[in-house]
Amino acid sequence: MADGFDVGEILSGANLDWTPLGEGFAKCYMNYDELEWKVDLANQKAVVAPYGGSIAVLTKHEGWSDITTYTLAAKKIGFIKLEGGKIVGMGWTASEDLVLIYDDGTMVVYTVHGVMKFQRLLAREIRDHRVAQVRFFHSIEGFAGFAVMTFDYHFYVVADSDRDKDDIRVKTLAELPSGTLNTCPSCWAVMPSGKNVGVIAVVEGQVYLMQSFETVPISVACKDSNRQWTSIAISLSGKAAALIDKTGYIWAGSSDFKSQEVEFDIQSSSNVLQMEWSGNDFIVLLYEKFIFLKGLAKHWCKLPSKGPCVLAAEIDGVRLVTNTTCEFIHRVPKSSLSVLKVASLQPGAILNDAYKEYIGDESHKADEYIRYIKDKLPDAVLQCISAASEEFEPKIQQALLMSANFGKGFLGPDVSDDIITAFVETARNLRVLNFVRDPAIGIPITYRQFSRLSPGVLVDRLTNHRQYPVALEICNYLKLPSDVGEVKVLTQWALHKVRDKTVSDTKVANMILTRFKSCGIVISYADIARVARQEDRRTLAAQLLEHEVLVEDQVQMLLEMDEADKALDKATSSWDAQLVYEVLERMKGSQRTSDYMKVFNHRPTAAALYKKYCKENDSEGLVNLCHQESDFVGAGIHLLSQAYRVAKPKEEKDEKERKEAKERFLVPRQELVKQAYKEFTDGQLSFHMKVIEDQDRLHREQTQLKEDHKFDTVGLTLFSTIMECVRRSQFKVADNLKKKFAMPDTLFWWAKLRALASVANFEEIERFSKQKKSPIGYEPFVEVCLQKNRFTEANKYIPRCPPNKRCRLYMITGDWHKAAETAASERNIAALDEMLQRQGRNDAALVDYIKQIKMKLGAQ
Amino acid sequence: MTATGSHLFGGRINLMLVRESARIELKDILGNPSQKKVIVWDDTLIGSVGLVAEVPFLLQLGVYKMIRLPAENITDMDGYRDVSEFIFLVRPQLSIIDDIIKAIARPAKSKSFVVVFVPRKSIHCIKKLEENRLKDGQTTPFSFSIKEFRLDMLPLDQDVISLDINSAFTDLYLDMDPTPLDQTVRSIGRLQALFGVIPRIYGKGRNAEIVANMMERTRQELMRGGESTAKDTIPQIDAVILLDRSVDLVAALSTQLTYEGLIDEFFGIRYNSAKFPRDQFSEDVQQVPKNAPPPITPLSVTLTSEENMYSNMRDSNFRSIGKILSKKAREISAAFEERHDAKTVQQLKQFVQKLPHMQQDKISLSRHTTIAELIKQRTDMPEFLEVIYAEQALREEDNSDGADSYIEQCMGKQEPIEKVLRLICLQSLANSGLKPKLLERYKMGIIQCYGTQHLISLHNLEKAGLIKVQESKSFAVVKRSLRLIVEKVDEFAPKDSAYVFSGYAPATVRLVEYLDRPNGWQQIEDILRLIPGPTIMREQKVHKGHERKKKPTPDQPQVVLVFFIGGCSYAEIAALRYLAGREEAVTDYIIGTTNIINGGTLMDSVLANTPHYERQN
Repeated sequence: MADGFDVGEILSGANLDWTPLGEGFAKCYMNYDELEWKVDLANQKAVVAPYGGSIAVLTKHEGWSDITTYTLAAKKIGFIKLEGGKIVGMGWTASEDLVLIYDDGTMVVYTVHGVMKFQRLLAREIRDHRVAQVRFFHSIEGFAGFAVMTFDYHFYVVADSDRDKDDIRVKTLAELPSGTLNTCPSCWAVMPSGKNVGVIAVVEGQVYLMQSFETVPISVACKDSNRQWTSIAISLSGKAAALIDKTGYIWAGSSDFKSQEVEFDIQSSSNVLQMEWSGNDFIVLLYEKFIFLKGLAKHWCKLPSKGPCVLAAEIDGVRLVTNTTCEFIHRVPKSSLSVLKVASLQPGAILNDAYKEYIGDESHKADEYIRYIKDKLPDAVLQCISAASEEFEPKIQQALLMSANFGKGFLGPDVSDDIITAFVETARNLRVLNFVRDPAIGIPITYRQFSRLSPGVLVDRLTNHRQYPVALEICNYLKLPSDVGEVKVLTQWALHKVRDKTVSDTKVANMILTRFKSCGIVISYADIARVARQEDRRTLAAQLLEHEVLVEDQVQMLLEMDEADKALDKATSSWDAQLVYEVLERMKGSQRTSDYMKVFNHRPTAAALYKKYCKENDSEGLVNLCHQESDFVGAGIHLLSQAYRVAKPKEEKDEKERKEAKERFLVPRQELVKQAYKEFTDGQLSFHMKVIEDQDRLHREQTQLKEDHKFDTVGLTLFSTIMECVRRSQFKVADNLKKKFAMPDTLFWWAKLRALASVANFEEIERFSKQKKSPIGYEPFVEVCLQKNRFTEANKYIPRCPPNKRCRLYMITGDWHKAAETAASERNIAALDEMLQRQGRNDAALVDYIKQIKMKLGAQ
Repeated sequence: MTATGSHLFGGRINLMLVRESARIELKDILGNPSQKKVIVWDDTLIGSVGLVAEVPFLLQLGVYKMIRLPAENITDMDGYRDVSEFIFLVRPQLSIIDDIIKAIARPAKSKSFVVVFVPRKSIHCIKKLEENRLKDGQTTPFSFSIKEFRLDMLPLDQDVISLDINSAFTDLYLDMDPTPLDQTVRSIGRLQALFGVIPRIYGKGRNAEIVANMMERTRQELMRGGESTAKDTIPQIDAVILLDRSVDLVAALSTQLTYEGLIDEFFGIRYNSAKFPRDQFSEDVQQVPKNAPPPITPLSVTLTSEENMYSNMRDSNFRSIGKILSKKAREISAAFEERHDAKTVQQLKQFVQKLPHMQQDKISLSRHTTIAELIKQRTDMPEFLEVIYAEQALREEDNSDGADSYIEQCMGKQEPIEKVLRLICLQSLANSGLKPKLLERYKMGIIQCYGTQHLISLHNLEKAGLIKVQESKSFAVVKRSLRLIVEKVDEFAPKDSAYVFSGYAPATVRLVEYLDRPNGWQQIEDILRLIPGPTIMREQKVHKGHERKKKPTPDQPQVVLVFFIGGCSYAEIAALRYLAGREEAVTDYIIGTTNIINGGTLMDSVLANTPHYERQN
């Protein structure tokens, strides 16, 4: 139970400031009074940003003007001094930048602190015809923009004014019908419907809807179709429209003008100064002498004048700023009505009564009330929670939440999660709202606006106002994910520090680094460095960039800072090949080739990657780099592979063509081989040189062969050439080649043996076998004979094979007796058994023989 | 390919999440599903993208048709007139850009084209597109944009993740292109975002050190912008072991002798499936409707843990496969016999419920019997046995002169060059280099037998460290101290991970094994020093309260991510699974690798740099 205030009294008095408006009530809540600013809205123009945002006040002086921005609690934020130029329009973007539109079509955007972001010409046609009027709007979807009318009555729309300078899209709307082309609309307004923003204009009593491609006349569902409308208002949601004529006749209804909800004659011929919708609920009309609220159907009320003031539509009401106050006019929401209306029989109201009795020590009465609404207790609790959320006064909020809590107690363990969540969330959000509504912060945002805006955007706004500690506290309190909360706020804070040039580079860097290291948050230092660079603080930028953890960003930023060398180092140390290539490409574009090649000194990874790329795409570059590194073998091997990559010719049918094709491919190949040879020579690579020399000699030998013996071995390996000679019985030539190229004996024997076998020259094989002791043994001889199924031939060589192999070889050639004999001499019983098993059935002699042997062996 | 990805589920960490996050990304890239679109494929991506997004899923995303590059003037093709979007899924290769340009040579104005680079954009590709008037974000004369699908890693099975960088080995050891390292770091980063900070980092080798260093940096990146997922997740992976492929290249070049390993050696497993000659398989395995003409294409068989029988046998030594299959056959027929024992309705019902499962097993059995037969045909060939003996001799003997003549014999018989070079490399690696004379002799032999252009092959093999002149005898010491050679392995009931090569335990796997012993790597610091490259033992701070409190036990094992930088083979995966499957094991392994390799593909990747080299298979 809170001390110091009487909950009962508070709850009973919560509806005292309601003004009846038909079946409902309107309420005008004073957010701030006794504003301490020197503003006179009678002479100064002011515009208010939506969602309880800042207010900009334009003061005109002799030959110059200025704009001061304030919070709605009149705390000064920024100041802009303007020289010359005629300002036609002034308004806010969705993220609270201030937009000025000059009559020459220039658009200038300032931050809320008065720092110019950019200026641009909207469109040449706008400049040529001059801007007559500008209307700013913001839509319920959360974007904001403006529409421009030129003096030739053409309309242009910028649907989203938050974009960057070059991304601002100016949309030209379709023209008014030709008959009305030269007539000034008597009134017009922006019609925000989704991204398709249009304009509603009234020309000579006729209403038109103008969009990109067409202008449509709209008939207003009104008894008297000849009314001369002087003002128009479209609700923020774009759903409701209101028109008023100079006699004070009001038409209001749906924004397609097809259904009329209000028909009313205000009976005042004085000029309406401003007309705005409060949500879609009622219209607020500002007159010099009074303020008129016109609800739907027949209901209305009149408030006394508050002096010079400005209205600003919100999604759920109208903000009203006077020279000394900031107020909020809105319809009393349904839940507030249920709970707080006198004599309400809604469960919420009864719960409220029960609670009042309970704290007034009349608990039996309280019990009675609770019993009465027993079945509807969850509704009652929710109504109280919802009503609390609608209140500005913390005391009333608290009282209503206490009511709700009291009711919740009776729900016992069955209380649903919805109720608990609603209670906790509302309490938590209200704490945040009360905090930002405080005059020190000055954002008198309603709960509904807050829900629509989202906590993240509120934090953005606070950050934008440089309320960093408050923003951080809210982030933590609402447990916002750190990428939309804490990190974002701190990044903005760091950017602010970077822009503040009164502090030295080192100090700023230290401040930023300590702050982030202390809370263990890793942020994009590259982003901050980018701003530092824009602010011409190169040292600071470099210092911060050192700490960037995302190498991609770091490298990108270094490139932007023309620190290509450093960027290359960072890229290589990240081992990210694509990043290295990206830097190299950039360097290549901006440097002379000779300079470019120098970057590879002492950068092995970069050099290796460049070489890999060159292998396929830039042969010359690769050779150059190899030279720079004195890598002769690398260069030579590359050239050699280029040489062998020269495509082999297709088989041509015609002899002559075939020859030519062969030459076409051999000549460039030889050229490249020559180059490779030079590299090998420069590198004193004797083995490589020898290989190339041998190849050259072999080629000559082959050409000679072709002339002398008429068979073509050009292009074959030495091994194949020798085989070819042997096949053609050119044994001398083969021997010669072997000698000339120092082919090892073993290989030569293989070549000759296989070549002889391939032409089935078994006589020569036998002769060959006897030439000298075979360096490859005699098994291969057996093998080649077996391949040709020449078992008798094979048997010739088996005795010269190693003893332990003979038995098995005889088994293969099918000479079983010899096999048995051999087995016997080796005392290989297992082999004998195998023979018995394999041949036992069809070779009785063998069986006997083996049995004999086995006996002999057994006997021994 | 399975439509559900259920083979990813059920491991110690849920790799479905990896697949799911890739799917979400793809969905985002393809945009509004109600807009008709055509996917234009880079052929080489169909397998990898297909692993995370199978066809029905693509259809859900509004994909109307799919075509392959090269294709010309695709907008003029019949039936594509009402398609508004054409999406090119391509690898960042300059050569593919020409195909793209040809494909949209004469585009209609209303069409829009999106080039999606997988897994990353390339500045050179973008430049080439721009030179052909295809600029990212342009809207006239038609809409064109460039996107990125960061498919950094592919979950292959419930315990295997591949980065699918087929060139990883040559990138790292030949071209010195660090892309695989970058991608490894990004992937481990992603895993940490999903499964929490990995508290302990171990590593061996230069590339492992680079990755470990970069991991520290990415930790900060994770923190940035308050992405608190990794911070707040309780670590599900207890340690990561980064293994540079150079730690054991002998294992990489040896012929794998596990069932899965041999399928990969002989038929090549790509994206979880392998192709076999169709006519060898019975019809029920092919699942082709009867009477339909038999398709001529090879039969593609999916090989994942989703198939129960395969999962149980894939890691076994091939010698035991016959036994396993016949045991399975008996079990299945016994299970079918049970129907005679079913007496009550209840029993019959139980039997019927088991039936689909049994049918599936029967198909599995038939399929794997055929595959095993196909493999046996080749393992029985003398050429295969000779290679195995030669490899064994090279690994086991300290000075294997006998191998020299076998290698020369292979040259003399003009065996495929990759086979010869693979053996030479193995000899060089197993002996910590070759004697200068022998090396010269081999080199000359290669040139004389296979041609001058193989000067390039030899150069590249030397550059990659696969061939060198002998300097020390360090491998012999490592071999002995880590007990890499194990005699008398029991292929049927292995007692040591060496069973995967019938007597050789990969050093990579041994290092992982040692980490589980008391004192871990500290115990073997001297040995670690003999293996080239730095040793990493670090800790990463985890969120307070997230530290592992209890020592791992066989009931509550720890999870260790073993990451191979430069590739790993199915045999190594099998060996790690063997370790985890032992009764006393306190660790489960998740295997990460830049790519799956075997000796053949590894040699291929190096030889691919030699002009006119084509693998003869």
